[in-house]
Order: sequence, then C-alpha cells, then structure tokens
Amino acid sequence: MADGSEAEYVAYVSGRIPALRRLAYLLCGNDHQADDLVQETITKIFVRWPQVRKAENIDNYVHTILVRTFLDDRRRGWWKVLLGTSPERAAPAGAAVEDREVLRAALAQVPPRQQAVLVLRFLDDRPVAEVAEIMGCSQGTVKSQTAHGLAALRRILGDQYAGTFTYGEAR
Amino acid sequence: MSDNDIRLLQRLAGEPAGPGRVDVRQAVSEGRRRLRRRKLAAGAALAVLVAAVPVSAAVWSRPAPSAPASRPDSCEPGVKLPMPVGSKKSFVVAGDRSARYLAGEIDGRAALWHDGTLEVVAEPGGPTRFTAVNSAGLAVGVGKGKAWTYAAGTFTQLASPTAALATAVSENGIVVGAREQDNKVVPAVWDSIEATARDLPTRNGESGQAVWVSDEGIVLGLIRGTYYRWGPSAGYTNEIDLDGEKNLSLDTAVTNGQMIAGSVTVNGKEAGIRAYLLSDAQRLPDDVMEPTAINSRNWIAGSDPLAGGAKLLVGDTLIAVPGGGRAVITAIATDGGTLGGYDGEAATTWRCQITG
Repeated sequence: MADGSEAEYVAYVSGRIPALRRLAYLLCGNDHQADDLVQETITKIFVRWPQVRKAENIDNYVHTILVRTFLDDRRRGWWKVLLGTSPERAAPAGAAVEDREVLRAALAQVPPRQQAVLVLRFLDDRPVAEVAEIMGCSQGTVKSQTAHGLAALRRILGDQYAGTFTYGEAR
Repeated sequence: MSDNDIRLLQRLAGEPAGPGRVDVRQAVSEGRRRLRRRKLAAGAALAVLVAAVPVSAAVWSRPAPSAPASRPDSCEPGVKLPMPVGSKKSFVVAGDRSARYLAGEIDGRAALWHDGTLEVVAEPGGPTRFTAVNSAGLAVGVGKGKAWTYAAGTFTQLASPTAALATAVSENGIVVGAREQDNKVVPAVWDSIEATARDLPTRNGESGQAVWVSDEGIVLGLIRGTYYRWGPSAGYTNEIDLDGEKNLSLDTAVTNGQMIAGSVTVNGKEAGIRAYLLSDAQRLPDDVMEPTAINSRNWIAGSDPLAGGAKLLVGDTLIAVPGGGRAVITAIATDGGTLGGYDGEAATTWRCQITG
C-alpha cells in the first residue's frame, strides 16, 4: 500500500474498533473471543482494503466480513471452550446474570446463520434490509431465519429449562 | 414470533468490558504477511520455497505446504553422547531448534548436553528427566512430583500448590505442563520461572496436559487423544480425520505448533498421520508410522514399530538414520544438520549432510 491507503486503513479501522468489538461481543458473548474475532476481521480488511475502500457502504461491508468470519469459525469443526463460564455450568434460574448465561448458552446452540440474524436484528437493532445486505441474502430469508432462530431458541430453552426460566422479568 | 421472546433475547445486549486487546499494528503486520504469501503462491509454480512461516503466526492461519530448499541426503553413523564414568543408561528426550542443546536423562537423573558436551546431571532429589530445552539453554523437566527448570547452573522448582510436571518451554521462557487437581490432571502454564501455575480450562473439565507453547503464550495440549489450542483467550479442540474416519484419537503425537504428527488407530490398524492445525490429516509412510520428533520445517522423524529403525521424512523423501532397529530420534535441528535421540544403547547424536 504505497499510495497512502495504508494510513487510510489505519485511520478507518482505529475509529471502528469499538463498534466492531461491540458487534463481535454480541455474536460471541465473550470478551476474549470477541477480540479474537475483531483481530482476524481487521486483518482480513487490511488484505482486502483496495476493494473495501471502494465499497458503497464501507461499514456494512466490514460488518459482513466480521459476520462471515464468525460463521466460518463456527463451521470449522473446532469447538470453543468458553473460559470461565461453560454452558454446562450455567445455572437454570435465579439472578439476572445466571439467566443471561442460560440465554447465551441457548443462543450458542441455534444454527450459526440464524444466530447471526437474531443478533443483528434484536441485539444490534438493525432493520431487515440492512441485515439482508450484511448477510448477503434476501429480506425474505432474513425474516424466515429470524422465525426459525426464535423457534429454535424457545425449543432449546424449553427442553433444558422448562418451567424454570423467568420469562416474566422480560415484560 | 412473540414480543416476549424478543425482549428475552434483548437481555443479552451489552458491551465488552475493558479496552480490549485488538491491535491494529499486528493486523497490518499479519495482513502484509498474508499478501506476501499470496503473491508467492501465485508465482511459485516452479519455485522451491523454504517453509518460513513463523510458528506463532502459523497457529492462527494455516500455512501452505511448501518444499524445503535443501534435503539431507544421508546421515552419518551416530556418536554416543558423553556420560559420567560408571553410568549405564541414557537417552535424549528433546532438543532446542538448533539441536545444539539436547536434554534427557542419565540413570534416572535429568541431563543436558551442549554441543556434544555434558553440561549438567541433576543431583539426587532433583529432576529425574528433562523434557524440553530452548535455544538459550533453559531446560524444563519432571521429578518427585515437581516441575523443574534449569538454566546456567541453577535448578529451580516451579511453583504449584499440587504435584506438577513441565513438558515444554518457549524461546522466551514460558513453561507449560500439567498439575494435579481434585484427582485430575489439568493443563498448566507458568508465565515465567517465578510465576505460580495457571490452569488452562478444558471442555467439560477433561484431564490433559499442555505440550507446546509459543512466545506469545499460545499453548497446545493433548487431551484424551485430541489436540487443544488455547489462544490468549479462548480454547479450541481439533478433530483428527483420516480417510473419512472422524475424530480419531491420537495414541502418540509430537508437534511444532503448526503441524501435528502422530499415530492413530483406523479400522483396527495403526496409521501415522500429519496434519496442519485446522486441516484434515494426511497418512504418513509406514516407515515413520510412529512419529517421535518434528522440527520447525515439518520434517518428521519416526519409526515403524514392526520393522524398527529410525527414519527422517523430509517433505515426501525418506532418509534412513543409522542405528539399528531400536534407534529413536527425538530432536531434529531446523537445518537437519544435527539429530538427537537414542541408538538402542545410549543418548546419541547424528550428523546429516544437506545437499542442495
């Protein structure tokens, strides 16, 4: 990058790290894994910077790279061991923190693309059209994956924690 | 879809804690390396490349297989390493990357050789065996339920509240191994010689031990026949797949941080395998079915348990190592010029010729 675009990359990425870490954290549910994911994402952005900088919506392009990196990681057949908190140890009911652990463990069992759609729509508050652009699919697919993802989440929570999960607190 | 479901899910909204450890400079450096490798791969149809992938980076991204620039055509007969007068049995367990330091054992006491000379033998009550050494001459070992280090004339017990052992050391002095905990063996790391053991978590709390560590603190471990990798944060476990058989259990294995070489049982038969981390395994020739050492260029030493005799696999070329049916190679210099091991009688070193 002898044309000065490396400085442009550094300036862009440095300014976006907080947003990328937030999205990565919502996807992974773990600070450290989120940092691993962002590190890999910004490395890929560097390699593809000549294309990335020409994108119509650079932020969405970059978020696409992050989400795909997350999905690739889930597909590889390597299973993550969550440091400190393992899903098996998560308590089924009680304090809000424990509920979050149960929820996070359940979300991790939802198929990866559905999981990403749920995170982008409901935790990152993105409209369907934007989620479709990031995921590289139609809006209809986003809607159907949302429904499938929520159904899977309900099923997982229902199977494992029937009658113990404090739904009432969400109201 | 119910609003309750969505509100429930939204309880997971949050922010990562702290400043994080994302490093833009590291991304630029790693990105440049990937671009260089891509250019090389594109123009290297006839070029012969040296495997120059840094081990630490290779853990994060799968290196492309590459052929070594030169190959040892043959190895000279081995030379037994010196022992104190009256000693009976000795062998080499490991060497540093140059194989100038060779670490092992003489009659149940840890021993270290440097450039073919015996540097030290542990006193009774000290370590019984050295298991690894780095190029600064920092050796680590085991003995009497303790994890030990040795450097420049000084033996040190590593701090652990329970029985422990040390199996590997990085170039900058990070030590890994394992320690006992609640009737289990847990992988452990000592960030320095002065540090107390830090446990590494495993999936479902399975027992295992750490067997390799990089200067960046990336650790590989062997747990129930499967390799684990712990990064600076998360841990991962890797499947060994061969010929359509999934999740094979390693019976024995060695690693250099980027490649695993080991033996597995497939359909009731033993097979040697080599696999880059994150990649499918490849079957090894029967001559090195039981790998015993691997260097940073992915040269593998091993033997055939039925035929016996040590061989060195350089790329796809096999080189016989003189020493009879009981010879075992446990250390290979990066340039292949020096090997360390056991000739069937005692700790031995071999010189191998490298031709272009």
